[in-house]
Amino acid sequence: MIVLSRIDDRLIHGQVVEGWVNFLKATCILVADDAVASNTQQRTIMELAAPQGLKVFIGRVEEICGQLLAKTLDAERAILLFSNPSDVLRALRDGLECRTLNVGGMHYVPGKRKLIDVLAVNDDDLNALKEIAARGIKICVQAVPTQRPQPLEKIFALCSVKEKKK
Amino acid sequence: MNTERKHIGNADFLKVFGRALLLQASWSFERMQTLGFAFAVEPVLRKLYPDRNEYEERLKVHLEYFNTQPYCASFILGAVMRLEEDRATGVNAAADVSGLKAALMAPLGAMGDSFFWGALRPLTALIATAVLLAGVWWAPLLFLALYNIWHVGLRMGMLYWGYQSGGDAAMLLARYSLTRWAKRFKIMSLTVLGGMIGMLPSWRPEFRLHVPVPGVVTAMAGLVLTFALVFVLRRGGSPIKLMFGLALLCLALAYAGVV
Amino acid sequence: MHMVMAVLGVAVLGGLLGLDRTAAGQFMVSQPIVAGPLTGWLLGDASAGFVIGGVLELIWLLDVPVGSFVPANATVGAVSATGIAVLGMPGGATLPVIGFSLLLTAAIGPLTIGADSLVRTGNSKLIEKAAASTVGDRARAISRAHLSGLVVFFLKSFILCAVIVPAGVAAVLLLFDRLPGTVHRALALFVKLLPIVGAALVARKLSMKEFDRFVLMGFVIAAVFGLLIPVPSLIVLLLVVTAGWIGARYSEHRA
Repeated sequence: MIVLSRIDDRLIHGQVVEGWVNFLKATCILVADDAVASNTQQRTIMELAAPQGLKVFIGRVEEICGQLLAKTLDAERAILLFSNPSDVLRALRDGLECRTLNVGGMHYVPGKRKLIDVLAVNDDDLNALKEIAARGIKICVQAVPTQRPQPLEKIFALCSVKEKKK
Repeated sequence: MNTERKHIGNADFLKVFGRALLLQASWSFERMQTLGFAFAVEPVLRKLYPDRNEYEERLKVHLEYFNTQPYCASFILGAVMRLEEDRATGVNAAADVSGLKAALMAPLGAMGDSFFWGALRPLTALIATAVLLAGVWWAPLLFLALYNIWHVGLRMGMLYWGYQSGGDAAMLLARYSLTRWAKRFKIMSLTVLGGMIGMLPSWRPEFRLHVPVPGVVTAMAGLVLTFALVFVLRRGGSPIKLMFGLALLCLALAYAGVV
Repeated sequence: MHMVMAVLGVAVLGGLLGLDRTAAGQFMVSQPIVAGPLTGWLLGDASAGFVIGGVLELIWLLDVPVGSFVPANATVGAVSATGIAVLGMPGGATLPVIGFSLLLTAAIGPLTIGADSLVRTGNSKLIEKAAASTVGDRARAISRAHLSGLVVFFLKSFILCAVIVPAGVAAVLLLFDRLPGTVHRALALFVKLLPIVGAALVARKLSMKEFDRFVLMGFVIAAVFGLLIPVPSLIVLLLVVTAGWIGARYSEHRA
C-alpha cells in the first residue's frame, strides 16, 4: 500500500525519514529514479544512510511501477519518491494509481523559474504538473506533516497574479 | 611547476572547521547553505589555486545549490578539500566536485537529521530534563556536555574522514554506523522518557501536585495520562494548540472547584 | 531605568542565543533547557528559568528544523517567557505568573515562525548579491554577503525579544494581577501538568506505537527503584539509561 507519493529532488533526506516515516508509520521507501538507480555508488550510500529497520528499494521508474502493479509490496506501508513531475507522469501512464501527490521540494537551479521558495520549475515540469492535475490528482506542497499543505492551484493562481503585475 | 605550496595542512583544516561553524549564517529557503559552503571552502581554494582567475572560477562553481545536515556538511567539506587538492595538483584533474556534492548531500542529510536531531538531541535532552525535574541545578551543563562531546567530536572527525576517504561515504557509514547508533539512542530515549515519568513522585515541588496519595499512584496516573495524550495526539494537534487546550481544561477544573 | 536595561539585556541574550539556533555554531545553547535558566540567572531569578526551560525543552524537543521546515522559535520563547515572568514579578516569580507568561509566548509562537520565514526568504537576496559580484572581488563579496546574514539573524531574535518582553511585562502588571484567584490556581495547575504534555509529545514523535515497551520498561525500573527502595534520583536515572542500552542491544541481537 502506498501511503504517500512525493516529488522531492533530494529523494531520501531528513524531511522524509524524520517527518513522514514516523507520522505515516511507513515501513518502506521506494525511490523511482533512473539516475540514482543506474549509479551504484549513490545507490549504496542512499541505502546505507536510511534509518535501520526501514526497507529501501531503489529502481528505475518502470521497475518500481512494475513491482507496485505486481502487488509484491502490498504488505508494506510504502512512501513512493520521485525526483521530478515528468517521472510521475511516466509512472501514471504505466498504470500507477494515485489520488494525491505531495510536493516536498524542487529546488532552484539556473534555467528554472521560482514559483515559491521550495518550488522552482522549468517548462517540462510545469507541463507535467498541469497534466497530472488534469488527471484529477490533488497536488499539494507540504514539506513535513506538521506544516499546512498548500494546494498547487493556489500557488499557480498567486504566481500568475504576480506576473500580471509585472 | 611548484607543487609544494599546494598541499593542505592542519592549519587549513582548522580554518575550514571554524568557517563551517558559520555554515548557515545566510541560510535561505531558496538556496539554503549554498553561500555558507562557498564561504567555508574559500581559504582552501585560495591556497590551492594561486592563479587568480582559476581561483575565482572555482569559487563560482561552489555557488551551486547545496543543503545537508549542518554537522554532516563537514564530511562533504573534507571530501571537497581532497578533490580540489587532487584537481589542483594534477593527481586527478577531472575530479567531479559538483557531482560529489550533489550525490552526498541528501543521504548525509537523511542520516544526520535522524542521528543528531532525531536521536542524539532527544536522548541527551531527556536525560538532562529528567535530572532537572528532580531538582538538579547543573542539568543544563550536563546536557551541553553530553551533546557536544558527540557533536564536536563527530563534526571534527567527519571533516578529517571526508578528506582521508575522498568522500567515500559508504566507508564512513560502514565503519561508524551512525544509523545503528541512531536506533540505539532512540530506544534509550524512550526508556529515559519512561524513567522520567516513573520518577514523578520525586520531581521538584514546582512540577508536582500536592495530593495525599502514595507515590506509586501519582506515577501511575502520570503514565496513564501520558499514554492518553499520545492517543489524542495521533489525531494531530500542534504543541501550541495542545498548550491552549490544557490551559482551558485547567481553567474548567479550577472553576469546578477541583483545585 | 533598571527595567530598560534589563529588557535590553534580555534582548541581547535572546539575539546571541538565537544565533546558535541556525546561523552559528549550533552547540545547543539555544535549547530552552539552557536558554531559560541562563536568562533567569542573568535577571537574578534562576529558578523561574529552570521551570520554563525544562517545560519548553520537552514541548519543542522534536519539532526539528529539517530542510525548509521552520518550527516555532523555542529559543525566543524560553528567553522571553523567562524575561516576562521574572521582570513582571520582581522578588520571585510564582507558578501562576510563569504559566501566564508561557501562555503569552505560546500565543505569539506563529509570530516567531513568521519572522523566521521572513528572514529566510529575505536571505535569498544575499546570494544574488554575491553571485552578481564583479570578477576580482568574488571572495570578499561572498564573505560580506554571507556574514551579513549573521546580523540579520541576530536582529530578528533581538527585536522579537525586545518587543515581546515589555509587552508581556505590561500584560502581567495590568492584567495578571487583576485575574481572580481561581484563574491563578488554574495557571499553577497548568504549569504542573505541562511536563506530562511535553512527555506525550516526545513519545508521539519518537515512537510508532501507542504503548511502547521501552517506555514501560523505563517506567517500571524508575518506579521500583525510586519508590520502593529509596535511592537518589541520579542513580535511578543511571539504571534507566543502562537498561535502555541493554534493551537496544537486545533488540539488535534479535533482529
